[in-house]
Amino acid sequence: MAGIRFENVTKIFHQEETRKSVVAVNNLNLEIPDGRFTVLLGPSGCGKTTTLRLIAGLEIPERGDIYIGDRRVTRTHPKERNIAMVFQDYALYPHMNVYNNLAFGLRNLRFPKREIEERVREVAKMLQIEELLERTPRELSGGQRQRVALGRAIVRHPEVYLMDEPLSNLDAKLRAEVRIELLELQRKLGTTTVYVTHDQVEAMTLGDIIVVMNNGIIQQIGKARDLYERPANIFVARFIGSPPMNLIKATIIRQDGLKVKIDDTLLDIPKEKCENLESYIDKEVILGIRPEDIKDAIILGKDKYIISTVDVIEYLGAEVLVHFHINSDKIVARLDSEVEIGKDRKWRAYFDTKKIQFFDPITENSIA
Amino acid sequence: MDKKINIRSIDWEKIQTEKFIRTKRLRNIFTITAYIILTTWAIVSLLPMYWMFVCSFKHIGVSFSIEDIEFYPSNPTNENYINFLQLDAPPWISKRPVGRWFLNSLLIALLPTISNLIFDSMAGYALAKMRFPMKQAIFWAIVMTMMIPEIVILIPLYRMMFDFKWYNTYWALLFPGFAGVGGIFLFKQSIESLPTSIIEAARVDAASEPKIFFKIVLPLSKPILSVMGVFGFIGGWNSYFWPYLVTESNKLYTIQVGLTSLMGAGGGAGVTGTLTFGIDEYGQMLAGASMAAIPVIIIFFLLQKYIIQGITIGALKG
Amino acid sequence: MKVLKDRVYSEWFWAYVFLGVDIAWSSVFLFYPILKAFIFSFQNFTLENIGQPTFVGLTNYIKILTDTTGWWYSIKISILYTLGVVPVGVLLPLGLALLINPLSKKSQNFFKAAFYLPGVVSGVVVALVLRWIFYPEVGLINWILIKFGGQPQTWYANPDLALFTLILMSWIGSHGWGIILYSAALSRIPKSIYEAADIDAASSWIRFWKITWPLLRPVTLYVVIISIINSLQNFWGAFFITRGGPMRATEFVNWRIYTTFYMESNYSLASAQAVILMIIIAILSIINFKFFGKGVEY
Repeated sequence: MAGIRFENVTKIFHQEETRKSVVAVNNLNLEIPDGRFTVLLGPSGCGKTTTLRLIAGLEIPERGDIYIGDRRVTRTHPKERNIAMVFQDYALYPHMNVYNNLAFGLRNLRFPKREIEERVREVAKMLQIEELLERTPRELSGGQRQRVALGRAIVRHPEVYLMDEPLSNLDAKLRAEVRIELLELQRKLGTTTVYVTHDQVEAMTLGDIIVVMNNGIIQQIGKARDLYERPANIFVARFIGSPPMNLIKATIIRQDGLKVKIDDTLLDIPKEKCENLESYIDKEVILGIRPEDIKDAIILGKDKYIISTVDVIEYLGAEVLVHFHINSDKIVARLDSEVEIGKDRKWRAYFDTKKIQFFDPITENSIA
Repeated sequence: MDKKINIRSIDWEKIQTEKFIRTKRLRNIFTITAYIILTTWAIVSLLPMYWMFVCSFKHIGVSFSIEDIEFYPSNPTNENYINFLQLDAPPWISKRPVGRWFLNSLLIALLPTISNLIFDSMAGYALAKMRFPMKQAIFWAIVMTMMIPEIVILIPLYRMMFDFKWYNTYWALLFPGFAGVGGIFLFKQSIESLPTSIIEAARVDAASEPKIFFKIVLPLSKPILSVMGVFGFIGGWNSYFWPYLVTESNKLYTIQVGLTSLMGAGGGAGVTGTLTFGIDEYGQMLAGASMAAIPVIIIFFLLQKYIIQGITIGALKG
Repeated sequence: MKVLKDRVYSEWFWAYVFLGVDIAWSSVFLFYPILKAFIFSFQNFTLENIGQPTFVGLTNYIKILTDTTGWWYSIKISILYTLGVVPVGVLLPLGLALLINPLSKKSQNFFKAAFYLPGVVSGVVVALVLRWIFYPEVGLINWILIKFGGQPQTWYANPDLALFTLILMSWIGSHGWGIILYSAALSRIPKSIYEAADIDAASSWIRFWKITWPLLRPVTLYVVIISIINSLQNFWGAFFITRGGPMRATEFVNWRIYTTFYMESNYSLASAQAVILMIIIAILSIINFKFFGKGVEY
């Protein structure tokens, strides 16, 4: 087992037809810890898959170095990296049966026949695909194919597992099941795993560590809770959480200590955030607040509230989403109970100020 | 106000039924017309081949006249085949080596095709899935070469056969066809449609590049291999101009060249006679033509699936 | 093999290995002859001076381009032939494919096979048989003409009819290639487009001109270009049946090049002719692409 280290890695793609260059990974420095489940998360085209393929050796960086453990593998073959990969479309060899699919890599590495047999049986048992060994991929269901793809990686006993959106081709129910199995499997094997996804739920449930990427640059590294509660910038704030964090234009003013002014309402700022906001007095900031941190002021009996106009109410069973706006900012509140809305569609929204965040409107980074 | 139609008063069901019957009748008329036209044209299209086989079993002598035309041989005779193969020729006459012609045709249909399948699929794979410098330039060179008329290449190539001292040998007959560019293009088109992830999975599975080609790409390319194999065979069997140019002794003729050598139209260097043979010789010519046509017709019937598939490769996208 | 340790260089290495045999072979038997053809065309290489051809500049080209009774006459014959062959060679397959398309799979395959079968037989055999069918004294065509009260013709032996006879032969000949291409293209047009047109109450006429025809344009482009290129280079009729005659009626361009090259052994002049033919074909292909090429993707 081994950790992975990126040192100033840059990968550029040259498109021959359009003669354009795209920087897929931009001066990446990243330490992926040994034995943990690390998730690379981001929208499509953010460089997460390229990062994974750089570890696999399917792409070679223009600049920088990649280490697996303490071996520098920047320009070496995939076969010399001791990694295994699960592809998004599974990439099973269609002309081989499941047994040969699992054994192909071991045969290439010239394992003795008996050991190959043992390992394939062991993995087939672990994944409960023993009775499928003689079948070809065409004869398998989507879930079974996914298991075979997983098995093909496990059977190699690699130092690192690389997974490129392995659940995206499964239906929603199966995906939730496999997610849990995957987690158990990784806990059991304890092998370093790098997992690419654009699905934040997958990332949050699976990842010991989540690396959020955008435009080839790392936006934030942390545990799920860190990302959710303390997003490093507006991109992460928007990307994590569903519905995403509300971002509202606001101004910081001094009046009995620091206050934040939304529309014409003044809200208190928690003491620990005041220090960082000193330099923003009388300036515009972006206020971030999660939908569940907005409450109904009347029901809670609060007297500090913002009067807003409700656009739409979505009833989701366990919860209610209230869409409203303040000036031009569209806002969503997630409430677990009923709401009281006046005849004129006016609603009194209470902001839980302990949970609010502040971002610089220009750099978009978190300031407090 | 009275212009407003009361929707309920219209018998929608009746209208629908009438419309349905009308369309169905129209469709039937169309289908019948289509079948008549298509069948007529199919007869026109197949008539020459049919006529060749029928006439090859007829007695066609100098006295054969237009009144003797029948659409089936009422007195079938195998004399044309006997004449063509010179089965009843007296032993002191040096016979034309028709068996050799067939053998040569088989060689030119098989050997270059096999070599093309191997080397063109390798090159096509490299161009389709691998990354290397000059890839685009090499690909364009291949496409440009495909556009060049054959005659441009044939003249210098013909002279080269003399320089190589290959003229009138099997080398000249077979060797230049051992690799071509047309095949590369079609293999590239076809292999491009294989999922790249399978090849990458093999790479991660520690397979070497040759192993990826032989164990992954080739087995998955069976359809295109079959198509190219069938077309290669038919093309080789039917090839005429090159074998005609570079062979002189009739032991090297293919069946096609051998046939024309009897026609007096060509065959071998220096023979530049006009097509003068008359009715009395036509019987055995048709017998020979039938024999030359039968192998490809059999292949067509056995493998027409691949032929019909193959025509669309390269012409249609996706 | 230290270089093979490097992932990038290893891929380059094997790519060149895979390409190697073909490239080497093509260099000797394809690229080099093409180069040689250009060199020949600027020389005076004939059978008489095999050892020492000398460069003569543009002499060959000037000779060809000013040769109105020879070269330009042949160009005219080939263009006439092309004009006779291509429209039928495009429209007939289109029409037949349109008729085949709505039929059952089984019927489709039967007709496709029937139309394609003559195409697998060699040019020699086809020429031999068609000559027999058009044979003035005992030909099937004349028999049919007589049956329907017409006058028997001498066809390819008649200077006024010879070129038309060869065009006629191409019409009878195989259209399977075009039919299969067109019907493959037709079957790829999504049904939903026609259903949408039905909802818009489009007549069959409008459906054809506004949907089918525009969507078939890429195939039409392909069929037209390939047919033109093939017809301009066609000379099998001249080679096997008419030998350029009678009275020069079928002196196609390629027949002229062939006689210059093979019968007169004037390799330089023949190469120059071939190069000019190549340029004409290239120009025609480019014009075709400009004319038809708009919106080729669908």
